[in-house]
Amino acid sequence: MQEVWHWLPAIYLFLGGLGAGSFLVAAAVELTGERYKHEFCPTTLVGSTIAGPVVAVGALLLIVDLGAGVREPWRIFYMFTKFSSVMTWGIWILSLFIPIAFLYGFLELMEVYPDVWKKIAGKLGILKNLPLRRVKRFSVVAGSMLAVGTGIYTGVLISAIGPAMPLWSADLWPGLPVPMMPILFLVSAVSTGMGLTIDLSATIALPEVQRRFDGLPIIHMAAIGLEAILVGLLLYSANSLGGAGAASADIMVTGHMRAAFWIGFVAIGLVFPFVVHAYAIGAGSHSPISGIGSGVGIVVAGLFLRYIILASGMPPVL
Amino acid sequence: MLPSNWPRWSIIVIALALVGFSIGAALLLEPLAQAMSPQVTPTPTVHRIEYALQVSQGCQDCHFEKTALEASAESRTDVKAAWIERESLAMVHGRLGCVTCHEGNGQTDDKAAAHEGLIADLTASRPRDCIACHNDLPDLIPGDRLRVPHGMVIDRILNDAPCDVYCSDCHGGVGHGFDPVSGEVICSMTVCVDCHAERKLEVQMTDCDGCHIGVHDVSTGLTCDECHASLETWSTIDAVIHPELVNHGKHAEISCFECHAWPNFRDLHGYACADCHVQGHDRPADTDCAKCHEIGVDWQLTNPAAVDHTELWDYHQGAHVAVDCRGCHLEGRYLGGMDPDCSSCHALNKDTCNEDRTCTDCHLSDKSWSDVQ
Repeated sequence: MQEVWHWLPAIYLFLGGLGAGSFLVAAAVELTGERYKHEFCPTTLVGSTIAGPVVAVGALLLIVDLGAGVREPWRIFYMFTKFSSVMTWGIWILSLFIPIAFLYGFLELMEVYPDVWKKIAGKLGILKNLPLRRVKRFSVVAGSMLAVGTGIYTGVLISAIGPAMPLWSADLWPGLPVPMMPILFLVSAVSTGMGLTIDLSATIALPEVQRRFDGLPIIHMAAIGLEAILVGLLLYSANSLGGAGAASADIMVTGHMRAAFWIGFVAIGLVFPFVVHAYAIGAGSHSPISGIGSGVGIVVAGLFLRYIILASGMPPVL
Repeated sequence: MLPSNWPRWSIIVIALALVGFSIGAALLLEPLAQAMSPQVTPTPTVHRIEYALQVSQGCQDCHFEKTALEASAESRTDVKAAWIERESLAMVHGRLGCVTCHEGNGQTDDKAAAHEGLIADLTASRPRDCIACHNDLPDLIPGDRLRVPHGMVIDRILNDAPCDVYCSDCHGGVGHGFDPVSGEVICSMTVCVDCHAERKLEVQMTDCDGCHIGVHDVSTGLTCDECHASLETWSTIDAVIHPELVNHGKHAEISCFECHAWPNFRDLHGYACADCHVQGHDRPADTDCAKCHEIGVDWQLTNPAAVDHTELWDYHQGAHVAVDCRGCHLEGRYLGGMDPDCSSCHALNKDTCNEDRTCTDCHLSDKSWSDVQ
């Protein structure tokens, strides 16, 4: 692994994906109306409140990693106007998504704690007649589009490196000009978001949560399965490139990344959650251990996936 | 499961703690996973370009500081050649660190030790390092209207074929403050010409469109050097192709496209003055202006002799010949605008002239004013 691709990029790509995924899961519960069938919904509470801070911290780490972003931070503003650059798209997406995510988190907290809202509205008369749910719904709709953009952007960032790292710019299928990374990272973002907001948070707060949503384990198994298929396609696509692409795939599966790949990603992030969700379908519910274990595994595996992909990238065979 | 006396927001803290735990666990587990895996050396591909900024401090201490260079260099010329702007560190190649490309030892203060094994020009000794990233460069740069031999150079490097051109020939300052892509610094064409001459490659320099994508489609009528007279700037023009008539005086001072249509010219032959100039008098438009006016000098300077005024007016003789055109042709009127009455210019001498007669009764056209009939 080249020294420049250390853990820091993996962490901010992970935080960006996790925040976007958590937001999307909370937004899905909000927009389908499931949020209001019960008095308390831990999924929307966690998904809405952590999205903004987590993505903001990720963006901050990205600026730190840029180097010039710390030495001469005003140069960041130059990046807002070069629309031919994916960096500019990303800066716009993040700049819009972060405040909207914070707004959604604040409004959800006010819904959970109406007394606090009454106090705030009492002090600021202008808020007294604010249609809280309508504003929240607007922020959810606008934020969802930006969350998809954020999830995709984390993949676009590294696929834009282009021919310098064949693994990162591998196609969805050999010869099909659709980059794999944005799709894989978006699916992984949703999966980690589900792991954090449903498997972990909802299980801790409401052990009977699986009984609330009958189809939830199947939806989650589908997300895990899709992620597994995409990683399989990535390995196939990279392998078919030959040269450095194939060498990178070897590093992931049989090389010095194999323990991280098979244990850190496949075992704890795919196999274990898949099995416990299948068990949950049969038993009608997760046990707290399997629910929490599955959530922790998926989130940790989300970070490992990004690290493994970054660390396995090799320059082209010449 | 959550204790009933815990507030609901504690679930947010637990979730954030998991995020922190994930990062911590990954950072701890990854070295463990690495240790469990056999350290397989990847199949050699390209020479590894290491990120060597951290081990280039010794280079920077000297090459960024003029005083340090002056203390160790043998001449002022050496100082100028070896000094590098500190700002170059902010550029993409500068961030790689000196040792990445130049090797040597960047962690010593000893000049000889620092330069041991130094590679002056990476692109001459290890060109594959450049094309590890830059392996898909265009042969056409439309913005600069240039053809460049990137494909040929890359192909030869990949096939270990002899190649007389190095990346540094054009992009020599990369990493030292020169950004070949921004367009802020333009490589002068004399660099190309001098280099070709030095390597006896001038045969390839005979045709401008070997490198330049021209903007004018005049290939059937002209070659570039029939108008463009400089290797430095396109705007230096010597349009010898023009007839002498329009290639001097005021005409020589105007730019091509004040008369010609951009970019392919309107017509290379057959211009008439009236295409550009508005007549200041009532002479018919098909009249040859050059008959009276000296083209390209000054419209006011005319040549009255070009028109035989004596055929038109008997009295265009003697002192009348010296009169300026507009002395008689008032308000720019040449035809039908003349007042033939002598009194329009001359005052009647009441002491000698008979007011009942016209001037020409006594003053003949071929005689002087005083020679009265």
